[in-house]
Amino acid sequence: MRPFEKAILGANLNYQKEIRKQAIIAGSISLSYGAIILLINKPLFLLFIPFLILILIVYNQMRYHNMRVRVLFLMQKEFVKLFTYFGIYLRNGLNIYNSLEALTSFASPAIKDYLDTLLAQIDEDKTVMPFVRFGQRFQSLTIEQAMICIFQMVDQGNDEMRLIQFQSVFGRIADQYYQDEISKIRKGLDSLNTLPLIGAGLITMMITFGIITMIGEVISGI
Amino acid sequence: MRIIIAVIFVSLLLGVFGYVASGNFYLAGIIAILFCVYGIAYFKRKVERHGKMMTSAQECHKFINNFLLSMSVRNSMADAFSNATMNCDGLLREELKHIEHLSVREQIDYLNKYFRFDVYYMFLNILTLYEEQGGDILTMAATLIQEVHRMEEATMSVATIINRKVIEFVVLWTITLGIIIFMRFGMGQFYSKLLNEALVITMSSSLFFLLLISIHLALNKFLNSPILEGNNHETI
Repeated sequence: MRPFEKAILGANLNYQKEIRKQAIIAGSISLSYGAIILLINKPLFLLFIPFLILILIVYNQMRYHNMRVRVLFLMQKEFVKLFTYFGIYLRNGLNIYNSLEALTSFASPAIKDYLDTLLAQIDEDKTVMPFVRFGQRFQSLTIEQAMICIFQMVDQGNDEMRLIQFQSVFGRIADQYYQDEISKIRKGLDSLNTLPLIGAGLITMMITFGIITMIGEVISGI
Repeated sequence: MRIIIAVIFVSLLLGVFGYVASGNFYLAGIIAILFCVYGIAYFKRKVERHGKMMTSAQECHKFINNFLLSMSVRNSMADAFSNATMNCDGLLREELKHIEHLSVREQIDYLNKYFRFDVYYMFLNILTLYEEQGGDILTMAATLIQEVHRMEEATMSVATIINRKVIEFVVLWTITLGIIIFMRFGMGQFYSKLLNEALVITMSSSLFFLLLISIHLALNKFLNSPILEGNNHETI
């Protein structure tokens, strides 16, 4: 898989669609820029078109990266929600398979697919691998650890000790999730402070403009 | 009504600021009307919707906790339901009045339409399981109660952060607008000269446009609660 394709798929976007969209955007920008350059009759500026496309590619790479981080964060968030319910089902005496099956009614389409795959793989492969593969999709070691705990429950029976072990690992994931969510909200709110600063910058520009105009008038008077 | 009065007051105040900043009566009028329309058409609805959601979340958590505690003590769903809904008020009280004729279990199920949270749906699942299998409801719902506590704690932490940020936001914008007032009255002659330039008027009106964008962004950040909305469902 090419790096660009990997980045697009990682951002949970349709590769073909996204490539078409970006090609249209790049084409339109280049054409508009080209038209303006031809209108002002400065053909040398046409050399900047590759730079514009390069900027667009770099911007898109950053965008896909941010989207991928967001997708991962949302997936981890959903994992916390779903596996809280998993714990409840286990405590209430359902076996692992039925508990996982019951989770699908709460899951988003993407996670539902992962859960279905996990359930299908459990039927065929009795090793830890289906659980590890499911955990790896969330790119979090703690989640992988929780999935291994679940496998141990399947393998050695979900007795009280295993349940406590799962609860402890899962409790850590849930606490971490809420802490991450709070710090994300805090960061988002911090960014709001830049707008009044932009406003103050605008006023500073106004004053500078006024002073320059007055100096200009004085110089013209002399 | 209180929101409308506050919106009108703030819009008029900003209109006055607009007049001070631009010296243009029409521009001041446009600023006041723009903020007033935004406030009534968007701000008011957003604040009310958020208020309803927060109240509903608090009621949901309180209902689940009270119901489970009463249920474990009394072992009767009817008693637990009446204890859990005893002190409720506002919209929930009205909702309960509409469904008085239903049986207790039907009422609890119906409330899933009012409490559109995953935790409530899970609570219903546990209740069904309890009815089918019996056991200790508090042990069965231990993880759910933990999750509800986590959500409550996180919501409270976020509310504290938001309160602090709202104050910071208001203070920063007051200082920014204060600079204009200071310039207008402290450096009257200089500012009067500035007002002869079209660019300065454009810039001062851009400042109010920036303020509007800033309020819009702040509102969306302050009133979106990912912790509750992530658990808010429409379809289950």
